[in-house]
Amino acid sequence: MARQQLVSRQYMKRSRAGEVWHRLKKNKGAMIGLAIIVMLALVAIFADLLVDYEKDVIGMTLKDRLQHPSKAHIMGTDDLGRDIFARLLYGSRFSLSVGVVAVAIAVVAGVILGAFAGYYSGGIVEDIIMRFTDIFAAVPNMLMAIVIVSALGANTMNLMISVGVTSIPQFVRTTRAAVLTVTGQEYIESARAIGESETKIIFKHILPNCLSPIIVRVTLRVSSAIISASSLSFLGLGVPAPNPEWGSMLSTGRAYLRGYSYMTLFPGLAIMLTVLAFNMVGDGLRDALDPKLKK
Amino acid sequence: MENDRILLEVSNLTVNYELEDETVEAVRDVSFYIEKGKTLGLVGETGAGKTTTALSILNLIPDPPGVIRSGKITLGGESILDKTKKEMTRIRGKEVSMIFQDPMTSLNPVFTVGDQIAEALMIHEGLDKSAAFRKAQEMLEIVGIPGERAHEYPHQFSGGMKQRVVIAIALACNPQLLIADEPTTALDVTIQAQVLDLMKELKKRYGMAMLLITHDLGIIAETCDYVAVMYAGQIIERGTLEEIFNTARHPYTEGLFNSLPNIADRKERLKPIPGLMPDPTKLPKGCAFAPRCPYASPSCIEEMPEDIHFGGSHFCRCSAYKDPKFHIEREDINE
Amino acid sequence: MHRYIIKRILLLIPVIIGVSFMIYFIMDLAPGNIITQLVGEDATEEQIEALKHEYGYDRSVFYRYGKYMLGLLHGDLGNSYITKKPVWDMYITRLPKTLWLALGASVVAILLSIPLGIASAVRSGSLIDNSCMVLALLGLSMPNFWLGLLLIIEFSLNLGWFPSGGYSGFTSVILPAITIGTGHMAVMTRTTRSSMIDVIRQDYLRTARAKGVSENKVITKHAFRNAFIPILTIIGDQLAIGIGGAVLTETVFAWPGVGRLIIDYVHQRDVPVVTGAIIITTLITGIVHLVVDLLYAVVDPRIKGKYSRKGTKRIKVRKEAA
Repeated sequence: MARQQLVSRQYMKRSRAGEVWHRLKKNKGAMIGLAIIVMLALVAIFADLLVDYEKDVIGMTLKDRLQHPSKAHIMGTDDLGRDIFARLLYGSRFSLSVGVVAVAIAVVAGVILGAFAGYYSGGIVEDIIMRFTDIFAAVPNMLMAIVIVSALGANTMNLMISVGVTSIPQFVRTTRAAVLTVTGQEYIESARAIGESETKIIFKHILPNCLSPIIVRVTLRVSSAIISASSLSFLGLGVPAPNPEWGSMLSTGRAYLRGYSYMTLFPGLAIMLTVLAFNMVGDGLRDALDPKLKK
Repeated sequence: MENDRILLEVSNLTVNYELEDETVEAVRDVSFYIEKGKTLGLVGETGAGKTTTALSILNLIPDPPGVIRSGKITLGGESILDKTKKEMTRIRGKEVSMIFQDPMTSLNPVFTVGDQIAEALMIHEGLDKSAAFRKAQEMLEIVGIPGERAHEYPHQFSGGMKQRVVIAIALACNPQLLIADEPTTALDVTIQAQVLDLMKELKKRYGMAMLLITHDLGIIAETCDYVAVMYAGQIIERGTLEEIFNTARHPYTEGLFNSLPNIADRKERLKPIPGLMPDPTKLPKGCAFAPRCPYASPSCIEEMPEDIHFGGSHFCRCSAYKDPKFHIEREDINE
Repeated sequence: MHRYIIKRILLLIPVIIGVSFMIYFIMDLAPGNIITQLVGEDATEEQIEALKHEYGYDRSVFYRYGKYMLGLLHGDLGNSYITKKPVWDMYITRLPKTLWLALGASVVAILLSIPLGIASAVRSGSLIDNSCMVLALLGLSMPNFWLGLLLIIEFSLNLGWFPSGGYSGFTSVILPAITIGTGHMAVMTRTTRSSMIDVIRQDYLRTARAKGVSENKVITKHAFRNAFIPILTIIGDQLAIGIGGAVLTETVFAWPGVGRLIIDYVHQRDVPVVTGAIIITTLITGIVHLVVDLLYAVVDPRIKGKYSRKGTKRIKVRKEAA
C-alpha cells in the first residue's frame, strides 16, 4: 500500500532513539511531565539564587510564625516563622537528588547483577545472585529501608543509600528477565551462526534490546524513590531538620492539622506534582517503547 | 432460481472501515446467493474483502470502525441487517456458524474443549450442563477425537486437532450454513487434507450449505459447487465450478489460473500477475483490475464495468465483453 | 501439585534464615547499641560490664546471633531488650489490627477497581476511561500518608465524621483503609484495564461471538478469565505492600499495628523486637505470594500443567508490575 511505503521511508530516516522520541513527543501528558521535571530541576539547581538560605529557609523569625497564606508569604509560614514557599523551592533539591541518586545506585548495581544472572543462566552465578535478591526482596520495602536508615543514621546520604539499595532487587529481576528473553531470540542464534564473538553479541545485540523495560522502570522507580524518601523523612528517618525536605515538612504540619492545614497541603502537593510528572513520563516512555503500536 | 432453494442471499453489500483520516472500501456492491446444501467457494487474494463479506453475514464486523453502508442480506427469507443484537446471538452458532483461519488462537485457553462445545449447546439447545457436555463428547467423536479428551484444554491439542474442535463447536447445533474462512491455511498440508475430508463428510451428513473462503484453487476444485472470484472488494466473476474452471472469462480469473505452476511442464516459467492489488483507500473509479489487465482499454479505467451474463449461472464483471467477439487467451491446462 | 506446594514452603525457610541474618546483623552492628541506651550517666564500670554480659555484648555478634537462632529454632523469638516482654506476645497482639487494615483496604480496592478497569477497557478512549485513568494516575502519585493527613483534616477535624486516630471500632478503620486502599485502587484499575485491553484483541473472543455468546458474557466470562492472571499478581503484590508498608498509615492514624511496633523500637536498637517482627511479617508476605502463585494454577490450566509435572524449577510467573 502506498501509505505503508510512505511510513516506512520516514521510519528509516530516523534512528531507533529518534523514533522513540518522536512517539513520546506525541504524548501530551509525557511532554507536560517532562516540562515539569525540567522546571523542577532548574529550581533545584538555582535554588540558591531564588531564595536566601539563611533568611528564608532555616532562619527562625518567631514573630512571623504560623501565618496563613498572604501576599507576603504566598504559602504561609511554619511554626518557626519560615516561609513555606521558599522552603518548598529549596526542598526540591533533596527530593530530586535523592530520587536520582538512589535510582542510579539501584540501576548500576541491579543491571550488572541482573545481566550476569541472565547471561549465565543455569549456572551457580545465577543461583547465588537470585537467592540473595530473593532474600533481600522478601522483606517489605519500607521496613527494609527503615532498618537500614536507622542503622546508618539519619542524613541525606544514608537516605540515598537506603532507598537505592532497597530498589536493587527490582532491577536485578527486570534485567535478568530481559536478558533471558533476548538471549532466547532467534536473532541471537543467527548472530552466533554468522560467527560473531560473544562480547560483540552482548554489547551489540543483547544489551540494546534489553534497554526498554529498564528505562521504563527507571522513571517509575524515581517516582517511588521520591515517595519513599519523603516517607522516611516524614517518619523522622530521613533528611534531618532544619533542612526543608518535603516529607519532614509534612511531619511538622502534622502537629498543626487543626487550623493550619496549609502547612500540610503545600508540601504534599509538591511531592504529588513531582511524582506525577515522573509517572507521566514513565507511562509515555512505556507506550513509546512498545513495539506493538497500541492506538 | 427457485426462491425456496435459496438459503442465503446477499444483495449489493457495501462495507467500509471508516478510520480517522481515511476510509477503507473493503466490500463494494457485492451480490451472491447460496442454495441449501450447496457449497460456494469465495476465492481471491488477501485483502480482497472475503473475510469482511463473511463477517457481514453474521453482522460481526467490529463496529467502530466497520460500517455496513448499504445492501441486504437475507437468510431463509429474513433480513439479517434488521435484526436486533439479541436476535443475532440466537442466529450465530445455531442457524449460521463460522470458523476462522488460525486454530492456534481460536480457542479460549482457560476452558476445556468440552466446555467450549457445550456452551453452544447450552445457549441454543437449552441443554443443562451435563447433557450438553455429553453431547459435546459425541461431537468430538464425530470429528475424530476421543470423547474422553473433552476434559482437556486447548494447549494439549495439536493444530489440526484444534481445528477439529473448532469445527465441532461450529456444527454442534446443526447449522444450515457454515462459513469457513480459510480453515486449512494455517495447517500442514497433510492435515489440510484430513480436515477438508472431514468437512466434506460432515457437509454431506448434515446437509449443510457452506461458504468456503480460500485463496487456494485446488481446495475449491475439491469441495465447491459454485465459485465466486473477488478482487478489490468486488465479485468480478461467478459461476458453477465447471463454468469457472473450464470457461473462465474474467482476465483476473485467467491470471489466477495462469499463475498456477504447470506440473506437466516443469521447465515452464511461472506467470504471476504483474503489479499489486490497489490500495483500498484509494480505489479508482473504473475497473480496479484495469491497471494490471492485459486487455484493458481507456474506457475500463474511466467507467465501472457491469455484470455480463454468460448463460447458466455464469456472470462476469468486465467491460471488454461488450465487444461480443472478445475472448481471453487462457491456456488450456490439458495442452 | 502437592509436591510443588511443599517445595515452595520449604524454600521459604532459607529465605527466612537469610532475612534473620541480614536484619540481625544490620541492627546489631549499627552504631549505638542497647547498652548505650540503658546506661545512665553515672553508671560504674562494673554496672556497664554487667549489662554487657547480660545482653551478650561482651561476646562477638556471631555469638549473639547464634543464641538468637537457637531460640528461633525452638520457636522462641526472644524478649524485647527494652520491655523484657516476649517479642511474640508484643507482635501477636498487634498483628490482627494490621491485617484487618490491610485486608479491608485490599477487598474494597478489588471490588471497586476491577469493574472500573473492565469498563475503562471496554470503552477505551471514552469519558469513563479517560477520567478513571487520570484519577488512577493521581492516586498513584499521591504519597499515601499525605492523603491520610488530608482525610483527617477534612473528615475528622472539619466534619467530625470519623475519629482521627487510634483503634476504636468500625469507624476508626475507615479513614486508614481509604488511605491504603487508594494506592491499591490506582494500581489495580490500571492493571485491569491494560490486561483487558490485551485480551480484548484475542481471536477466541471472536469465536465466542460467532457461537452466539452475548457480548456481556464475552467480556465478563471469556475475556476476564484470561485477563485475570496479571490482575491476580497485582492483588497479591498490593496486599503484601499493604501489610508491610502500613507503617506510614499506622503512624498517621496512631494505629496500634505491627508497623508501629517496628518504628517505635528501631530507634532504640531493640534487636529482638525488630528482627522478630520483620521475620514474621516477611513470612506472612511470603505466604501471600505463595497463595497467589497457587491461585494461578486454579485460574490458568496451562500453569497447573507446569506445576504438576516434575517441576523442580520454581516457576517465575510473576511479572514485575509497573
